[in-house]
Parts: sequence; structure tokens; C-alpha cells
Amino acid sequence: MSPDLLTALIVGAGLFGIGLYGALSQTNLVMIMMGVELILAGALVNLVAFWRFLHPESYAGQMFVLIVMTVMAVEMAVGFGVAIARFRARGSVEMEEARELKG
Amino acid sequence: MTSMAHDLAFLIPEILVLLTGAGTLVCEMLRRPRTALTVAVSGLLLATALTLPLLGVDTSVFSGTFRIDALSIWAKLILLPATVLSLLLARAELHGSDREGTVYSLLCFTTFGALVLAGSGDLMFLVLGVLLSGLGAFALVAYPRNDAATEAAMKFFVFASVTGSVMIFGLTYWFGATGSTLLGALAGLDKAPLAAAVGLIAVIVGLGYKASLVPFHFWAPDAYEGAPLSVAAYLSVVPKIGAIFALVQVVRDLPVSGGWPLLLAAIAVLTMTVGYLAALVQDNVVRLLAYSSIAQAGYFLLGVVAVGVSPLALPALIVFAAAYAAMNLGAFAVALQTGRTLDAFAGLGHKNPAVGVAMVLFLLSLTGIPPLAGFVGKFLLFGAAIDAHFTWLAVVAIFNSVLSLAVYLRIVVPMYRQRSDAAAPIFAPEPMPLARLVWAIAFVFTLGIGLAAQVLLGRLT
Amino acid sequence: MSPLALVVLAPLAAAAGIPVLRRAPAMLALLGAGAGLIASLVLLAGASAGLHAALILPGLPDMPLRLVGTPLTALLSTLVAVVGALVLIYAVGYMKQDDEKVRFFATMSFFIAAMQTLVLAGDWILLLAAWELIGLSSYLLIGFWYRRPDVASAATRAFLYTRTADLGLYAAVFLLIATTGSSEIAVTLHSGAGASVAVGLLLLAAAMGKSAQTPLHDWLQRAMAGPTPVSALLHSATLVAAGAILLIRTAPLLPPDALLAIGIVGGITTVVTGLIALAERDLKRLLAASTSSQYGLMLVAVGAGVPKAALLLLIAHAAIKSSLFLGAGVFQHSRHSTRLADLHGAGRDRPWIFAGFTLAALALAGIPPLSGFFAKDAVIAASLASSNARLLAPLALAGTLLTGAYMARALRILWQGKRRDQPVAGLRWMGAGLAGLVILAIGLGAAFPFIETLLATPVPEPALARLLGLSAALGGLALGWFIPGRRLLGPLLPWARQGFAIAGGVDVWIVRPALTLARGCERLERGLYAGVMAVGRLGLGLGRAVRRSDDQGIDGLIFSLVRGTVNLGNRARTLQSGLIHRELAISVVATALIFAVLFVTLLAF
Repeated sequence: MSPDLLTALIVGAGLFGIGLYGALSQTNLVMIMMGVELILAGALVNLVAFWRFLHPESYAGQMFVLIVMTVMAVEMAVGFGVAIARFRARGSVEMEEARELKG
Repeated sequence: MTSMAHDLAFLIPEILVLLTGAGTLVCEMLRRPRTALTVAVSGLLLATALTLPLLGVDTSVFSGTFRIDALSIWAKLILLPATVLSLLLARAELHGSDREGTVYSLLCFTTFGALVLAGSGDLMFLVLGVLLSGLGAFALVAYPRNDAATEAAMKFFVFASVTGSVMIFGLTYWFGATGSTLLGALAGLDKAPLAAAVGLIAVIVGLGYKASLVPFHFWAPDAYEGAPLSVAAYLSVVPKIGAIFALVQVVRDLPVSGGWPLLLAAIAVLTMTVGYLAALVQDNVVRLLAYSSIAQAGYFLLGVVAVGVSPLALPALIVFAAAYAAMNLGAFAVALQTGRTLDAFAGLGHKNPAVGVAMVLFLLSLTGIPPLAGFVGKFLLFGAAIDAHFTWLAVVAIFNSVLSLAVYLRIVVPMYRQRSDAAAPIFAPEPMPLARLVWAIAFVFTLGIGLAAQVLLGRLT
Repeated sequence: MSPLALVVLAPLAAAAGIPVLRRAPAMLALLGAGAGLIASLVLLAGASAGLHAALILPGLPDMPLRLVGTPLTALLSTLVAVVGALVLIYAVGYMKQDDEKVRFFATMSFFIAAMQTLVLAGDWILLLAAWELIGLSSYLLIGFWYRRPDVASAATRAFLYTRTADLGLYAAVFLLIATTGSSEIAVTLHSGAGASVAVGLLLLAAAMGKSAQTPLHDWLQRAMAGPTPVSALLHSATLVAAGAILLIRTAPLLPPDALLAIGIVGGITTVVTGLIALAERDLKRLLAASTSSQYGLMLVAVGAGVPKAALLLLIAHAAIKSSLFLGAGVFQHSRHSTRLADLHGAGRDRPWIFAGFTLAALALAGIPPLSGFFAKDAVIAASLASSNARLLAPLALAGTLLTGAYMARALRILWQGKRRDQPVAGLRWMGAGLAGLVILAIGLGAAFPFIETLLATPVPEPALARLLGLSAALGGLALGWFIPGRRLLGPLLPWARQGFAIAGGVDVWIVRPALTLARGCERLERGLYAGVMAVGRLGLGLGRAVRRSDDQGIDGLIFSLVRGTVNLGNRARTLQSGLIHRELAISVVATALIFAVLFVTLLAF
């Protein structure tokens, strides 16, 4: 494994870790979505690194990058849709306030 | 170009589902919800009919990235009719509400996502399938736009996006280890055990959330409770079966040395037990059915662990999927007609004997009592698990059936007990001819699959 | 149409037709039962001529469903058809005043169809299906008068008891199919390999539930809440008989150890439930206890290795017990009660009915030349000839003695007392059904040689058995007639009245847990304990359970178990906090755990 690949993977894992921490620790829906974006950014870094350093002949890696970027965009759009609907119903997108359904 | 045409010919049902979704949306734009429903139902039925000639085909399209095999074909034959029943339920429940047609359209698109999942032969299709079957689902759950529905949608969305992104991140390692995103290339993973383990966990997280396996099940009861009942019924059947079939598509190519069968067996035990235990203490029928459908997902895993070892595994999964779709939709349809609390079921067996008999039948079938559909499915699943030397797992599953009987009796017992107050119910539920139609159809299938298992299996093997 | 199909389809058609047509339900049911009876007689005639009928239906792959007409199954089917038809005739009179004839006759016909499927089933899957259908239809019938208090709970109790024991059958069938690779009963029986002790014990468990053997006998007495024709059918040829029939059919398969277990369970049951019958204060409950006791004797015969003796007793008992119940039903209608205290002298009201009842009672006790004598004789001879004679023979003789005693007690109560004439509606139909069954109870003994040649296995009958059996029967009758049951039981009385505390306590094993759970667990405390506390709590709970089991016997232990399950359920529920973070965190921690486990296994290999 080349040092470059290792560096890239460590950056990817770091982004994943920060993103996961954010998604778990934040109570605001928008902040959680930011965390999710960071996780996906980590995945992008990984994919690009794997493609560049290990499998430069494969176009599947680039395709996968495009797909993940689409996922990011679409997920954001839907997430804001959900946030707006929630805000209209409740006036807040705090997860701590969403605890009527349980048990 | 001819190969393109050849590939597309195999995808006619999927394409038709997409077009149906779009057509339904157009009808909604024209403010014609009734036409939208007609378009959706007839489009999906046509797609089902066009799937029939494909039976027996085993090939793949787009250079192996999408599979046309027994699983994906039967997924269409099971999920499309199940979506039609959900459409009818949605009409019964949401008739007259604002933007009613969007629900039908979203149901079609979400089903398309589940179909992509069931046939995926590539990591990218897996990701897209999870995304497509999730996007519409959030909107469906939030449809009533009240406090509970938006809360449910928000939780559902957070859970889905976190698990989905974790799955994507993990899958990148599979690409790194094999240099390909094709599931067929996963056999090369035995040289990179660590990457194999990370990717495996990623898949279990992503698909496990969709199939509501424990410990990724938390969203399900809340989402079902907050959502319209017809949407809950739909979510408990269509995306779940799609995710299970996708899991099969993944593990059938995975080297067994990765230890996935044992891992899935452990999750199966956990899922069945936690699901039924939690169902035992619910007072809300929707939540009870939600936990029950979590537990049933554990039974599916009995077949998944046997994939590649037992020839019985695939037929067992398909039969159980069909049986599960019929009995679960039936139970939800009865709940839609009756009410969301256990109290609403008190005395139902005397007030409305036909509904009572149907509900008892659905619940007994969920428990797995012969000669009903659920029994045949579970019988085959147990057989597959025993074939694959998971006898202990089958035994645990049988013991869980005792627990499940206690769970389902919680609905049945009040149905046949007399109401303490002989007075009329507080509100008389309006008659729902469509809901009645749905449970009647589900009733026929629940009985029919049990009795005609031979014929069904003849087609499968 | 083959008679084999007709045997099942005729009552089934009646069951389907009655609710559709909604008129003349009794006649339709009789028509269905009559057609089924004729078909089963044709089947029996064919079987005795050596014809081996079989009907193969589609089923699971390579495991078709099938109905078979062997001599044994044809004989049992005839028995079911005859008793079913006569009980239905009686029911025409009995149900005359009831408003819900449609439901009653439809369910009864369905019940008969299910039982016919069970006895004729040629493969395990169909047998399982029929087994469940019997459970379901008996649930519906026991709970027929669901408006009366306690009836629904009695029905649920019966259902749960038998359902739980059914798990034994499921497990046994799975094991049998897995070892022999075939679901056909004939193949598994003649596979030569024989079954393991485990299979034998599992089958025994299933039979104990259905045939109400100690310690699972309690539900049968409570099941008296149903209409009398239901009890008659339940006890003689259908639900309860299913357990014994299962063991009779599988007896060739069972290893000696399992047979011994069967014999011991049967022997204990026959004595325990015999004592309960002696202490009973209600005529129908007395008869119910007696049913358990007689099925115990059958299990003794199976355990002694002579299932044919059990079969003879099963046939004789079917006729006798249904006559007794039908007679009791008449007394119930004339006095509007089944309590023995209210029935003093009821026999004098209707001497003809009483005569029939007496003949049946004497037949049950085993007085020659009535049918019961020959059957008892065969059972006692079997127990004497068995290799475990020292264990089984005394139990069988004690059972016979007790039979005489409690039947004589019932007769005495019915005869001694004042006459109180009250009109009974529908007496003619009831009398006709009863007469048919009593004639069978008297005369069936003459048919036994035919049965023995049909099944090609003579039953041993040494003179010693005859002598011992007769003296036990006569002794029992004398004791029961001259000495009141109270005095006879002495210090055992209070215990027997409670249905023997250990035995009654086992009620709690299955029924109360399920009922408690089913009825909403909110009454039980909902402890909210953190994960760490759970471990400590488990230890505490165990300690408490042990202490309780010392204090209150099995009751306490089981209650702790129930509470434990519910607590577990509540704990699973508290995980669902509604706070998405906490839930997500649980998911992530679980994922990390999974990863750790996988990682460790990777390092290990």
C-alpha cells in the first residue's frame, strides 16, 4: 500500500468519524444532515483514492463517485423537504422535541 | 445497439413501473386523483402481467450490473400486486385529502426502488435502490403533515440517511479490495478479509435498516405509528422484501469464509426475540404489528443464511415473501377498517364475524399454523436452515413461535370476548369497501398459497 | 368419487352449506354425517377385503398430502363417523331451544371433517393441519356459549393447553421428516431405523396435551363449559382421542424407553384422575375426569407394547363415554344443573335414560358381557404380559378399581333421592341418539374378534387378567355403591377436590402466562432499569424465584417466569426511547460490537 493511498484513507476515515460523531451528537436536523454529508465526503475520498492508486483502469470507481454525489444532493433535497414539513407543523426541527412516538 | 435493445426488453416491467409513476403524477397535476389511481393500478397490473413471460429466465443486463433471475422476477410478481393492494388501501384511507394523487405516484416510485434492490448485481444499484426506496417513503410517512407524521418522517429520515451513508462508506472498501463494483466480483474478497468484514457490516447496516433487523429497527415502530396506516402496511411489506432479496443477491456471491452466515444467524435470533418481546407489551395495534413485522424479518434471515448451501433457500424465501405480503397486508387492512387500539378490536368477532374470521386467519398465518400460507413459508425456511446445518437456529425460531402466539392472541382474545359496555361503540367506523376488498384478496392468497404450495413451488424449481 | 374423499368432504360440505343456506341446519348436518358414515363403512368394507385405498393430493415438493384407507385408519374413521352421527342426532333434540343452531351445526360438521382428516391422514403435514383444525374447532365449540361467564376463558384455556403440547408434535414431525426424508407416515413408520427417545417423548408430550394426561389434565374438566353434545364428541372420538390415536399409530416406531415413559404417564394419570373423579361434585366434571383416567389406561396399553389393546379400549370408550355424556345431558336439562347435589334422584325421573346410563356405566367399569369388559381385559392382559408388568399392572388394576368406584358413586347419587318430574324438550331425538350409542356400548364386544382379525394381531388374554380385572371392577363398584366417596378418599379428599395441587398448579405453566400476557400486562409493574441493573436484577429475580418456589410450589416459580418475560418485553420497549440519538447510538454501538466480533474471529483464524 502506497503512503499516498494510506494518507487518503486516513483522511477518509477521519471525515467518517467526524461525520458520525456529528450525526449522533447534534440535536438539530440540519446539523445531523451536515454530519451525514461528512460521512459521504469520506466515502468520496476513499473512492477517489482507491480508483487513483489501486484501480486506475476501472471506470466503475468514477461512476461510483458520481452516484455518491447524486445521493448527497438528493438526500439533502429530501432532507430539507422533511425539515420544512416539520417546521410548519411544529415550528422547530429539534430532535429532542420529537419524542411523542416511543415505546 | 442491439444489445441495448435486448437489455431493455428484459426491463420492460421496471420501465413500465417508472412510466406509471410519472403518469400518475401527471394525473395529479391535472387534479384528477381518481384517474391517477386508475392509471397506477392498471399500470402496475400490466407490469405484473408483462413479468410473467420472463419466468424461468436467468440472465443479467447492463454488463452484469442488474440481474434478471428468479429473485428479481418473483420480486416483481410479489411486490407489484402488493403495491396495488397498498394503493387501494391508501385510497380507502386518504380519499378526498389534499394532493391524494402524489401518494399513488410516490408508491409507484418507491416500489421501483424496491425492485432495483431486489435485482441489483452491482454495488451502485444497491446504493441507488436503498436511496430510491427511501426517498418516496419519507414523503409518504410525512403525508398527513401533522405533528406525529412529521416526527415519524424526521426520525425515519435521520435513521435512513445515517445508515445509508455508513453503508456507502463501507462499500468503498469492497471496491478498493476487488477493483470492481460488480457483486459477481465479491468472490475475490477472500484475499482481503478486513475489507470484506467492513463491507459486510456496511451492507448489514444499510439493508438491515431497510428490512428493520434488530439493532437497526428503531425507526420502524415510530414511522408506522405516525404514518397513514396504508403507508405503514406498504412499508412493512414492499421495501422490506426488496431489502431482503438484495441481501440475498449480495451474500450469494460472498465467500462463506467471511463468517456471514453465523453473523446473520445471530441477528436473526436477536430480531425474532426482540421483535416479539416488544410486541408483547404494546397496546397499539399498529405498533404491535410493527414489532411483529420486525420479528418476521428475522424469519426471512433463516432462508438467507442457507443461501448457496441449500437448494431450498431461494424457493423458501420467495414463498415466505409472498405469504408474508398477503398476511401482513391483510392484517393491516383489517386494522385500517377497525381501529388502531386493542380496545377497538374488543368484540369484533361478534360484531362482524367475517372480519373476525379473516383477522384470526391472518394472525394464525403469521404465527405459522398449517394449512395457511405462513406455515408453508416457515416450514420451507426451517427446512432450508436445517439443510444448512443451522438446526439450532430453526429450534430457536420454533420457540419464538410460542412467543408469537402469545403476541397475536393479544389481538384475538379481546375480539372474542364480550365488550364490557354493551353500548354502541363511541364512533361507528365508516364502511370501507376498498379496505374490505383488500383483506378479502389477502384472505384468498393467505389460504391459497398454503393450499397451492405445490403448484407455486413447481413454478419455482 | 372415492369414498376416502367423501368421508371428509361430506361433513365439510355440510359445514360450508349450513351457513350459506341458513335453514334446516340440523338436517343438513345429519345428511353430511350420514353420507360420511356410509362412505367410511364402504372404506372399512374395502379395507377388510384387503383393499388399500389412497388419495394423493398436491402438497409441498416431493411431499404430497395423502389420505390413506388402511384397516386401522378405516376403523377409526368409522368410529368417528358413527359416534359423530349419533351425537348429531342427539344434538337435534338438545339444541332445540337454542337460537344459534346454524353456528352450532356448522362447527360440529367442521369438527367431524377435521377429525376424519386426522385419522385418515397418510402424511405428517396433513396430520399437523388436521391437528390444528381440531384445536381450532374445539375452541369454537367449547366457547359456543361465549356470553356466559367463564366460558371464553375455558375455551382459551383448552386451546392454549393443547396448543402448547402441540409444539411437541411439531418438533417430533420435523425430526422424523429430517431423519427419514419423507413426510409419509407409512414410510417413517417402516423406515426400520426407529425413532429416537426424543421423538417418542415429544410425541408423548403432544398426546398428553390433547388426551389430558397428568399433569396437563386440568383443561378437560374446565372444558365442560360447552354444550353437552360437544363434550360427548370431544371426549369419545375426537379431540381427546387424537392424542391416543397419535400414539397408537406411531407405537411401532417407538423405542422401549419412550414406551415405558408412556406407560408410566398413563398409569399415573389413570390413578390421579380416578381419585379426582371420586371427589368431584359435578356430574359432567366427574365424567371428564373419568375420560382422562380411561385415556391413561390406553396409554398403559401402548406402553405395554400392545397398542391394539389401547385401540379396543378407545373404540369401546368412545361408545360408552358418549352415551354417558348424552345421558348426563338429559339429566342436566331436567334439573337445569349438573351439580351432583342437584341431581339426587334424577335417574328416577327418567328410568329409561337412567337404564341406558347404568348400562354404559357398567360397561365402563368392565362388567361382562358389555363391551368395556373385553377392552379392559385386553388392557390388563397387556400390562401383565409386558416386561414392566410390576410397574404397569398394579396401576392398570388400580385404574379399573377406581373406575368401578366413581361410576357406582354417580349411579347411587342419581338413583337415591326424590323424583321431580319436569318436562324436557326434544327428548325423543335425544333418546334416539342415546339408544344407538348404548346399544353400541353393550354390543361392541361382539365385534372385537372381527377387529382383531382385521388388524391381524390377536390380543393376549390370559385367564388371570380376566379374573383380576373382573374382581377389581366388581370391588370398585361395591366400594362406590356402599361407601360415599368422601369417606373412601379419607385424607386425600381436599387434595383430590383441588384436582391435586401439583397438577392444578401446572395449569400455571402454560395457561396463566399466556392469559396474563394476552390480557394486557399493564397491571404488572413496568420497571425501568438500565442495562447494568438488568444483570443484578436477573440474579435477584432468580433468588426470589427459588424462594417463592419453596413458598408456593410451582405457582410462584411460574409467576416469576411470566413476570420475567414481561419485564424483558418492557425492557425491549424502553430501548425504544423515542429519542432518535439514543436509538442511533445503540445501533452504532451494536455495529461496533459486530465489527469487533468479526475482527476477533479474523485474527483467530
